[in-house]
Amino acid sequence: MMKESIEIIFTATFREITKKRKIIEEINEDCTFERILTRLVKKYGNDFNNVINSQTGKISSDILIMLNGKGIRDIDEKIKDKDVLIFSLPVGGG
Amino acid sequence: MVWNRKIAHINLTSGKVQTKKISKSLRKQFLGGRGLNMYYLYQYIKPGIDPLGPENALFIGTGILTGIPALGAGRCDIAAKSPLTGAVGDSNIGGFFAPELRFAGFDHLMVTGKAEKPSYIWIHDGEVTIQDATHLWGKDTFETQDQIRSDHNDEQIKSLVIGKAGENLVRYANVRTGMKNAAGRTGMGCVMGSKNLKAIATRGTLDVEFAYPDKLLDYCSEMNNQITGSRWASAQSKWGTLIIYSNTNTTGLIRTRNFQLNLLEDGENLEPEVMDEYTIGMSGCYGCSVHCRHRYVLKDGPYAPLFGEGPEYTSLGAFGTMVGCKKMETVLVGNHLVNKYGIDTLEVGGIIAWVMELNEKGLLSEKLTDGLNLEWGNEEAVFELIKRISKREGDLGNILADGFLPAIAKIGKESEYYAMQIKGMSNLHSDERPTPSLALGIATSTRGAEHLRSRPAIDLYGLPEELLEEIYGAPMSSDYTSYEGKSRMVWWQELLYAVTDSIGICKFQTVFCAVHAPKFEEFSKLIEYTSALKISKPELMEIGERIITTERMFNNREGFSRKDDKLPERFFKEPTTLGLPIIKGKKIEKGRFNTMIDEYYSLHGWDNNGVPSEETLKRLGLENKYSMNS
Repeated sequence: MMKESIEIIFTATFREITKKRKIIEEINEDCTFERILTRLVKKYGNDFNNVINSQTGKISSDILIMLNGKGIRDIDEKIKDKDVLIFSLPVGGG
Repeated sequence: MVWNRKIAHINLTSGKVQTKKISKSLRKQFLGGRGLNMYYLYQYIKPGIDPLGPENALFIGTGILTGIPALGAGRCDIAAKSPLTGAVGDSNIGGFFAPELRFAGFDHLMVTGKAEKPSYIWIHDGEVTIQDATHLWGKDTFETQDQIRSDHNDEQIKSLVIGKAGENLVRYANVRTGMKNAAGRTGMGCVMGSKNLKAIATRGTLDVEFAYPDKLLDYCSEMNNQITGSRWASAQSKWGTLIIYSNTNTTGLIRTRNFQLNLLEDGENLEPEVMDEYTIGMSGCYGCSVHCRHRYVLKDGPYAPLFGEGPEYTSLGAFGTMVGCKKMETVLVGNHLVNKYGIDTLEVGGIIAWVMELNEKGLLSEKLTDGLNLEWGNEEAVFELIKRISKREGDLGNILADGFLPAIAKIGKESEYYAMQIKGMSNLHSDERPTPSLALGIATSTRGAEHLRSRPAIDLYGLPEELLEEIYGAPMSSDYTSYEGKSRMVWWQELLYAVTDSIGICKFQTVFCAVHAPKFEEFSKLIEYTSALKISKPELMEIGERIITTERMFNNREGFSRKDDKLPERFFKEPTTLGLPIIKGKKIEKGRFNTMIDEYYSLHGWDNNGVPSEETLKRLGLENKYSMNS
């Protein structure tokens, strides 16, 4: 049986930290964003801890995490097979 | 005090210069920069005039905060009736010109008439003279600035200049300063060219007195610390606006091949970190703590050696995604050419992408291609067209130099559907089909398709709805594909940017990039510490309304109305074909879009045809349309 997996895309600072544009991560049932983040902290270090605002317990408003193209703020957001998770920064301009 | 800075009325036909005070009451109504420029534009430009005739006037304005050491307070606003659209012409430029003008004793310039021969305006410590520019005519934008500095033997001179495109009356020629800064949009360089005005140069050594200097410096320091400590600023200081590409070309919010696809496949060579290979450092504008501009060198290849500054995300689209080119070198060369010739990168990229699609669809006759191979991704054709348009060479170059609307008339009605323009002006290479708020902004912008007039970029971040309500003052959806509450978001951002352009700071250092960046509350404090003028947040928002409504009145007077606040038909007919699931298959729903426009007009106090109501005009003190209170 095929294992379930997601695609994680890094941009900006996260790309610098990981030295990767994209990784594939296998997931289990009942996976959440928090679980993925814990894995990334283990792999790439504490910089990923800063994604969470320690006061609110939510994803910091100066970080842009997109799940399948939609910005998310809750760390208990469910992650499922074939999801695309983007770690980025909110930057406007032209 | 900043109040003693004047306006110079410069008549190029008669050679006369008059300097006048700017009244405090006018300042309270319009602040400075874009706000005052819009007041002057409405007051002095008669309806229906030829934008290239001597009766058009060019307005240059610093902001009320110009010269403070924070928030990129070196912005300058340039306005006239646009030769590209016939509507409000208005463009904002960074760099160092605006503070230098203020140090020279002036906040605003009004240039009328037409010089008999090539001329430039020289402003030095309270004195304004018109000088011969015969020796500057024909020089590019870099050479012109160098020559003026050399003529006056002063390296500190700052100039606004035009290049070949402005001289040749390309209707989207821009005004430039430094290596890269541009008042890019609406053809203000064309207006300068029509007046035989090659440059406006200034040097100032007069002190600017601020009302509360200690408080001002402390607060500027606080602002700078807040910005340099933010993640977005640290990313921008490394990659500039190119960083946007990583997000848009992953999700599918980008236009490629004109408007055919919304992702550039195999587009890795346009990722921001590719610039690391070419970048020799980052530079910034006056009063900026971010420094988002690359300085780059192209050492190898057919176009080397080349030294330039930029490119912005706009040029990445203009010479990359929209024309199907996938190399950073192509973007760097294209960026250098538009900087040199003084032509709007967005407009030229948009119009080249359009003719490439027309060529593909068989809608461009072989004769009209002028021997160019207009296949997607042909960088040679892109560079050649930039040159031909700037110099008005060949039939195609000459036709495209007049902009979308005259070009459609010449190429054929069928070509109109493929032209990604609004009010005659090209849109950025963002794809707004999945994002109703962004679509509303480009449709209603007073200067034509435009992302810097009202774009609520933070709509894309999925912020908590409580936070959105706190910022925008009413409930709205945090889903960027939703239509709910988005008209208010656009209205609020539009007021914020009108004020931003009138106080003379950089939009990137406001609620454009980040929720916690400065907004009305911070502006109030800075205005008070600078000028002793106490203007509350609601009053600032009302000033924003006054500015936008004045722009609207100008456009109404020129025949613009609701019929012009529209999107290209492709937004409604062709769904996106690529991207993440939330983006793929999206198009704008016409009925819901029209409802958003109704809501947006209602927030501004305009009727359902987009005309300000008498009640609104009275509330904003604009009821006597032809002689506003000064």
